[in-house]
Amino acid sequence: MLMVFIVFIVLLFIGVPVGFSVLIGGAMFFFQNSDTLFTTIIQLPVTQTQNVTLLAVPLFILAGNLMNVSGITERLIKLSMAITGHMRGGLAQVSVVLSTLMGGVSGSANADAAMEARVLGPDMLKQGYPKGYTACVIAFTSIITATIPPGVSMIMFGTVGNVSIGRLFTAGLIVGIAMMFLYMLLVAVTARIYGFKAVTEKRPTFSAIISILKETIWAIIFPVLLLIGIRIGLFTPSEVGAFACVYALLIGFFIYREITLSKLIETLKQSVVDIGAIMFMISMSGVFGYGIPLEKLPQKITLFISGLTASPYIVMALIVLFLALAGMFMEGSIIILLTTPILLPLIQSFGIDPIVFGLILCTVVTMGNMTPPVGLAMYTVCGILDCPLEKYVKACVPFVLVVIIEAALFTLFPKIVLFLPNLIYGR
Amino acid sequence: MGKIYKKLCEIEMWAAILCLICSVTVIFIAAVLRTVKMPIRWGLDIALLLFTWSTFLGADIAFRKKCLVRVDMLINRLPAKMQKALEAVVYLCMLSAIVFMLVYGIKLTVISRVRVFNGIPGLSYSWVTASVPFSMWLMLITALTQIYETYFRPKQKEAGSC
Repeated sequence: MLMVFIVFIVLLFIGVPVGFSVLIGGAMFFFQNSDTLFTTIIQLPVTQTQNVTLLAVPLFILAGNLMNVSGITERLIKLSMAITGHMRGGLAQVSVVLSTLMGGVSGSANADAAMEARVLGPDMLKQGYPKGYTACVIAFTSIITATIPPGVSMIMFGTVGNVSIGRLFTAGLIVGIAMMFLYMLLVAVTARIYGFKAVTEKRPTFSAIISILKETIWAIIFPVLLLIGIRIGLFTPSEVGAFACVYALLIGFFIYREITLSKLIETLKQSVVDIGAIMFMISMSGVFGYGIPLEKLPQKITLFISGLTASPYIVMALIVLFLALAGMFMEGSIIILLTTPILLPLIQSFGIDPIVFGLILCTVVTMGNMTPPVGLAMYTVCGILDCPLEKYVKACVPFVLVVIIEAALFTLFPKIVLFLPNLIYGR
Repeated sequence: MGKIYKKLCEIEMWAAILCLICSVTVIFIAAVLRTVKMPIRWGLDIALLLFTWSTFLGADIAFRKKCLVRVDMLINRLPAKMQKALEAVVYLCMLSAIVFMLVYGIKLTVISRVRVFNGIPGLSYSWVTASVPFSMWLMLITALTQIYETYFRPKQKEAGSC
């Protein structure tokens, strides 16, 4: 297995696409073990795509893209503006709340960051927010999008680790909202230090908020509908994905009337590319993982770590550190797929709840998109805002700290995360 | 030649879209029918079959549009000449993987001819497996085209990136 990891890392760094790196690395196991069949290397990626739960991933990607053109986004911006516009550092608060609201319609942090950089970025710069700070607010708050259901990374973790997706989604709602408050707090503090102004003079009237709520209700109730649908067994997670696509189409065509045929075709074309790129990685990761259980890797690592320490908190701290480092260089979904089979048995042997771990994993790994040197969301946002990386890196420290504080908080008090899933699903 | 190739790319895109749409529709209808106590057993299997094809066709499209996720941190920092040399190594790695997958993919497809697809009698499992060698065949063409354009026809306008 060592050879597998070495080949994978080397190929990854010289610039071979992740899917191919995983495939070639994984194939090394077969070359080393003569009792394996080469045709298995083909069978494994095919088997990955025949997984019913993983089918939810492309469906939610498509649903997210459809929601984006359905006209929901503009209305959610209006709503977040109404709720937080009058606060100090109004536009930064809008970014936090908007990421949370967008979390319910799309599962992709990168898409959310790109959208906000285009929509909110220029206005924030005009109002005198420093470039680095603006880029960081927009990039980091989009982590919230990944934890509010539906979240693609949670589906992947649930599938690979055999953890209930319904429970993960329910817990994700709590984690996402908790994170929203933490980031709002951070923005409130920094706004005081920098002396940012509000966007609107007055608090909006109650009736004004109600009228915007009426317009956006379709987007806001969606995650709740989804949780209910899974809980009462009406839909399996992948069926919910298909349902989300139909839901977005219906809203776009009949309620907001913003989807046109040409927009739809454009979205489908983009989605096929998005899905192809991500599913290629996911399917090839099947080859990589093949040797892990055969060589009893999880048991070996668990034995090694428990020889070092007996404290679950230290183990968790080490894992978070490892994930944050891995996230700096690798795409988040691939980290989840490759490390879950190894890390999940480890943390379970230390008595940490898999749901709590899953959410911390998804959060920290998503943060990898925002941290240098390799980070898709970071490059996208800095590209759109024309922000130099040094400024971004300097400004991002408090935002990284919030994620770490959050991970520590949930490790120490897992009840915060587990309260709602246990209430809805029982223990 | 260029025109035919463009046309084929277009067909590939539409095939992938069609598979995706059908996959979504079938899952949705199957879920609705199950709720009204009229389950269709083959629904999910058909959806998965179409989905596999959509994935592997989409992978080739993403490859052609240079949308496959990669770490370009190192390669971007090298001088232009070194960049080209390293890029050649990358292409070589990908080509060998593609050819390997193509050869063994065909082999597996032939072997699994007799295996019946879950739940759908009369449909061979080869219909699923064949998606891999087929997409590898397309990727081979894509890779060779890209190599040709990078090394033998420079100063070409770069196709729009992601």
